[in-house]
Amino acid sequence: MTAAAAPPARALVFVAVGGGVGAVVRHLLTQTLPGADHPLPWPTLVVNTLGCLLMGLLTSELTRFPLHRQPVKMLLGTGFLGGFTTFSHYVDGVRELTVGGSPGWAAVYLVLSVVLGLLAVWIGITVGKGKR
Amino acid sequence: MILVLAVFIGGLIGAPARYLVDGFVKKRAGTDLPWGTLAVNVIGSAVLGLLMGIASRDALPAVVLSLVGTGFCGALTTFSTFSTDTYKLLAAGSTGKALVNIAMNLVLGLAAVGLCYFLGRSL
Repeated sequence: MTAAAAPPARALVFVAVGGGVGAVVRHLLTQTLPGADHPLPWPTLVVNTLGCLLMGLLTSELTRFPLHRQPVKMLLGTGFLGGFTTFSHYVDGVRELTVGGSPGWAAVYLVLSVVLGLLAVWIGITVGKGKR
Repeated sequence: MILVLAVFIGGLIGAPARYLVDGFVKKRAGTDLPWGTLAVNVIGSAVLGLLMGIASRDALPAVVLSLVGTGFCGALTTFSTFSTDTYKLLAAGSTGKALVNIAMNLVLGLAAVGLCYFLGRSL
């Protein structure tokens, strides 16, 4: 990150607001998405994969005008998408499945999240580049 | 509605905390690997594990779970930056570093959430 882009205080406000909104959207989505009857925590998987797709799109967009888009990066990237996706609930889901007697599903969830996340970032970056 | 507000406030604190910790760690550990993201992911997993451990023994108020768990820990940790950092390492041909990054986040994140869960349950 370029230091001259945004003063820290302003950047913190952008990140905070984005993070608060991102967490609320995740909360509402995970409560709305179906899958409560399935062993895999689908809602968190969907949220994390969707967040990776959007982060890929944003990353390719940001390489166009890095300085000009810096507040956008703080608000949408570090803030919103950072608050929207969650690593702690992902590993806690793996823990819960393992302790709950479903080590197979735990392994599926562990690997699937990483694979889908990387795939989503790749798709996002590729689609973002194609739009230029 | 109060729970949504609690999640919002948790995210309002967690996201800038991630930004600050990430910058702090980057300055000291360098940018060879995404150490800052690793740090927030492990810390957030530890806090969430502790919270869930306590919640498994004593019923915690839903507002605390929303504020600290869903909001703060959710926003302090990030899956999108973890994946994007790993993708960038892969795209740059640093396959070894990418695999090390995945392994460190998963092993340390799982260890943190697991150990702190048991700690919280036995507190």
